[in-house]
Amino acid sequence: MNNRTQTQHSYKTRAKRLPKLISGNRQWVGLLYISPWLIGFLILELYPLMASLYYSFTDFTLLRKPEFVGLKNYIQMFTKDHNFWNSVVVTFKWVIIAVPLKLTTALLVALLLNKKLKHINFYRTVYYLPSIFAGSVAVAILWRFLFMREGLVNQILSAVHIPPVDWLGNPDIALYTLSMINVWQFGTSMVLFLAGLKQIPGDLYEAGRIDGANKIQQFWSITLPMLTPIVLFNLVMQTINAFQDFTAPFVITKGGPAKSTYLFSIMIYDNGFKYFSMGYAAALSWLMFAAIITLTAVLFWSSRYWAHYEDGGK
Amino acid sequence: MKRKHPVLKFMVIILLISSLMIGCSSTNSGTVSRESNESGESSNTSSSSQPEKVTLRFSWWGAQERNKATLDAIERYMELNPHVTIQGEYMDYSGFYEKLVAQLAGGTAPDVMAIVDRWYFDLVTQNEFLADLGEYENIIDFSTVPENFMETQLFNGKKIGFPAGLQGDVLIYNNDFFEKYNIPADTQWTWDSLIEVGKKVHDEDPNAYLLSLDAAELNFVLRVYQKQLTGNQFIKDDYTLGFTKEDMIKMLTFVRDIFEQNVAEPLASAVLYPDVSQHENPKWRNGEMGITHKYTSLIPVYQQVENFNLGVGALPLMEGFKDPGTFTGSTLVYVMNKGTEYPEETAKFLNWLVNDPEAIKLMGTTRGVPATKVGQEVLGEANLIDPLVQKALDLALENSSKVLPDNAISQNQELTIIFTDIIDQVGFGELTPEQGSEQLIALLEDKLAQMK
Repeated sequence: MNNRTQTQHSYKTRAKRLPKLISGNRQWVGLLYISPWLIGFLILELYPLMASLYYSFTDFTLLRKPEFVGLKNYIQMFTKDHNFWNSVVVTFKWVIIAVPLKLTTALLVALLLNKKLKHINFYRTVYYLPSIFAGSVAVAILWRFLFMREGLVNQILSAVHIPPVDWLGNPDIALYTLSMINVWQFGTSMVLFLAGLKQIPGDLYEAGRIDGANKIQQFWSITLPMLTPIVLFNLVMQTINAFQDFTAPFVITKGGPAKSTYLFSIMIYDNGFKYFSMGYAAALSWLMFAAIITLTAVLFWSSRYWAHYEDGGK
Repeated sequence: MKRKHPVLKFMVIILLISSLMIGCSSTNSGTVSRESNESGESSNTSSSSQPEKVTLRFSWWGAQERNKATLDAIERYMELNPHVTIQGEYMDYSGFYEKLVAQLAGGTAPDVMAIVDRWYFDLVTQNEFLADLGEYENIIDFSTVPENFMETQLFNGKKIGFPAGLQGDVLIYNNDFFEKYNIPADTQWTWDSLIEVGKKVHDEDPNAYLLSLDAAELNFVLRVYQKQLTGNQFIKDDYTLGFTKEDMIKMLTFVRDIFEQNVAEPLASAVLYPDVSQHENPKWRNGEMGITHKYTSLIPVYQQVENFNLGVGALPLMEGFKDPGTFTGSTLVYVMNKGTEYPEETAKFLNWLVNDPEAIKLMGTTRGVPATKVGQEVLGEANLIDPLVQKALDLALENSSKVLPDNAISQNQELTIIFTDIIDQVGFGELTPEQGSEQLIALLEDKLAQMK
C-alpha cells in the first residue's frame, strides 16, 4: 500500500512534466490509441460514404466535374430506367430464394455436426472451408464451367439418361442455378448455429423425453425456439449480404441471359463502370442502402413475434 | 503499475504512430529517391550534353503473343535509345477500359496507350484527355497511312490516334463443315440464303447449326444489315435514328428466324461464351457449326484451334442494297496522354513503333495487318502476313461501307447494350420482332433525348 502511494506520487510529479495532451486528458490517449483505425475509417469509409451521397445528387461521369442536378437521378430511376424494375424484382427473388435456402442448409449441417462423432472437429473445419474460398473469382469461374451445357453437372445427368439442362443459359432457370451455387457459402451461419445449439440446456431435452416427445417434436418445440435469436442474427446478416451479392453472379452470368439475373448490384456496377454515370450509380447505391435498412428494421420489429429470449428479450 | 505509466504509454503511442507513418510513406520515399537520382543524372547529362533520362509508360491489352511482341519491341527501342526507359503495362481486355478511365480521371494514365477508336467519344469530347497527334507531325510520319483511310480515322477533324492495324467484318468458315453439307465455299450469301441453307443443315443433322452467333456478335452483323437497308449511320449525327420501325422489324425477324428455325445454335448455350471468342465453344471445336462472324484481326485466335480447316467469306448482301455495309477500320489506335511530361519523346517512340521496319517486323500482325504502307511492305516481303488474314481483309475492303467511320453516338456503349438486350429478348422468343422494334425505338429515343 505504501509502495503504491509512492508510485502514484512519482507518477504525478512526472506527469506534470509531460504535455497536457497526454497527462491531462485521458480521452486524447484513447483517441491516439485508436487513431490508426479512426484515420482509416474517416478517410476510407466515412468520406467516400458522404461523397457518394453528394454525388448521388449530381451528374458525374468521372471524366467531367460533377454538376448538381438535385433529385434528377432519383426521379430517373423510377420513371426512365427500363432496367430498374426488372432489377428490383430479380434482386428480391434472389434474396427470397437464396437466404432461406442457405440458412436451412446451414442449420441442417449444424445439427449434423452437433453430434458426438469421431473426428468431429475435422468435419467442422471441412464444412467451413467453402466460406473461405467462396467469395473468390476463381471459384466462381469453376462453378461456371461445372454448370455449362457441356459441364460436369450435365455429364453426370447424361450418365443417368437425363437430357442436358441449360443451367446458366436458360432465362427461366439461371437465377435458381445461381442461388444453388450461393448456398455453398453456408459456413458462417453454420458456425453460429452450432454455437447456438451448444447453448441449449440439456435438461430441456430431458424434460421433453420424459414427456414423450420424439426427435422431430424436440426439434420443433425445443431446438428451433431456443435458436430463434441466432436465426434472427443470421437472417439479418444474410439478407444484408444477399442484397449486396455481386462477385459470383457477375462472374458467372454478368446479369444475363436476357437480364434474368440482373441483380441490383450488377446494375450499379454497369452504370458506374460501364456507362460511367457515377452520379446515377451513387443514387442507386443509396436507394439500396435505404432498402436494406428498412428491411432490417422490419426484421427486427417482426422478431418480437417469433424470436424467443430466455430473459424475455429485455 | 505498468498500466499507469504515462511515459511508457507515450512512447508506445509514438512508436505505433511512427511505424504507421513509415509504413504509409514507403512508396513516397521510393519516389523521392528516384527523383533525386534522376535529377542527379540530369545534372550529369547537362554537363556531357547527353539527352535527359526519361521514363515512359505504355499500356495495352492482349494475348500472350501480342504481349511478347510488344515487349520485344520496347526492349529494342530501349537498346537504341539508352536514355529512354519504357514500362509496359499490359493486361486482359476485361476491365482495361474501366482502369484506363480511372487512371485518366486520377491523372495517373500512361504516356502512350493502345485503345479502340470508339472510346474517343468519352475520352475526347467529355474532357480532353488525349493529345492531338497532328501537333507532332514533324515527329510522327502520317504519310505512311493511305490518305483516304486516314480520313476515316479522324475524330472531329483531329488526328487523335495513329491506326495500328486494319480490320473488317468477315465470316469465318469451317471448311470441313462446308464440305460435309455440300456448301460451296465461294457462296455470296444473302440474308435469306443463310436461313435456307441453315434449315437444310439442321434437318440433316439435329446437332449441327450453320451459324454461331450471340447477341453481341449479332449487334455487329445487324448494323451491316441496317446500312444495306438504309445507307445511314445507326444513329444519325442529329441524334435521330438511322432506321424506321419497319427496317428494324426486318432485322429482328432475321434474328427470330435464325433461332426459331435452328439456323444458329440456341442462345441458351451460345450465351455462355459472351466475352470469349466462340472458338472456345465446344460445338465450334467439335465441328458442329459452320460460320461465325468476327473481325479479321481475330482470325489468328481461331487458327490456334488445332487441326481446323478455316476459310473466310464476305458478309451477306441483300439485293438492291443502299450501301455494302461491311465495316472496315482500324484494329486499335495508339494515343498520347495529353498530360504526358515528355510529349516529344512519346511521339518519337510512337513513330518508331509504327513506321520503323525493325519495329514492324517485331510487332508482326499482333495488332492486325499494319495500316501503314511501309508496314504492309515490310511484312509482305518477309512473308509475315497470313494469307487467310490477307484474303479476309481484301474481302472486307471490297464490300466496305461508304458510311464510315461510324459516328460516336452510334458507338455509344449504353445504346449498344439497349440494342443487344432487345436482340437477346427476340432471340429467346420473349419479344416478337414487332414488339422488339417498338421497344427498341422507344428506349433509344428516350436515351437520346437525355443525351442531347
